[in-house]
Amino acid sequence: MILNFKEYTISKNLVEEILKLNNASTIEKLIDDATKKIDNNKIRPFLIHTNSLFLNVLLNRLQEVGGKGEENTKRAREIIRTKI
Amino acid sequence: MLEIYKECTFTSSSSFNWIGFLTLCVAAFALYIARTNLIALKRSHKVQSHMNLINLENEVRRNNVKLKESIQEHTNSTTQEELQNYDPKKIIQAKTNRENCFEIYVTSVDKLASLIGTDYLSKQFSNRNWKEEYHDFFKKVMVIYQDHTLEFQNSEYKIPNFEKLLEEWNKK
Repeated sequence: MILNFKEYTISKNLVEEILKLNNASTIEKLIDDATKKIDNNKIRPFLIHTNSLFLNVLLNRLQEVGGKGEENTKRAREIIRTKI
Repeated sequence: MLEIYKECTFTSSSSFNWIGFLTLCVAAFALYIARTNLIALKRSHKVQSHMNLINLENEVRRNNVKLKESIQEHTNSTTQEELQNYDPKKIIQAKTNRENCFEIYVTSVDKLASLIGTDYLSKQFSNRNWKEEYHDFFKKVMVIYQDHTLEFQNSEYKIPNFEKLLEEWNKK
């Protein structure tokens, strides 16, 4: 299922917000809050797409994000995978 | 009668030794040539194996770069700027390209794993520690593979050699 502009935007913002976090404990809450904004039938594709964005961070953007970016990325992927 | 027998024995024995000596020389020479050829063949085989391995390693690296680019392109197609002109076709195209790159990549990784997994290669290059060289790299490949199968549920690309080798390494 192809997501729409709205879902892609939420996903992108969620990823960027998680990358900047200093406290990894709030990652799950952020993901849950973002998921609430998505229609029920699109939650899975939304999470899969968000996971894909994190994979891109791991493969291509890790040096650019700095800080706790890597740790947050890994934690976020673990959480998302349990929800898919 | 005894004289003839002695003469015959002497003649026959003398002739036999001479022919035997020549035969032995020819056999030794042939053995020497065969040994030299065998050593040259082994050396050339080793060089050939090394070249094949280097080519395969390069192929994997090239495919890795292409896959990373395709993932980047796929996620770029959904960035804010791109979405201003929201075009589902473009997103689908980027996704398809990513899937193709993934297929080529995992196939080459599986070939490399199957080659590394054979005893033959360990004997040929006893000074190389495959686990040390490839374990971290293969773990990254597994992350990509798991993500791909999560995202593309109908994915049919199997990597039996790679999975077997990684499992062995993880156990040790």
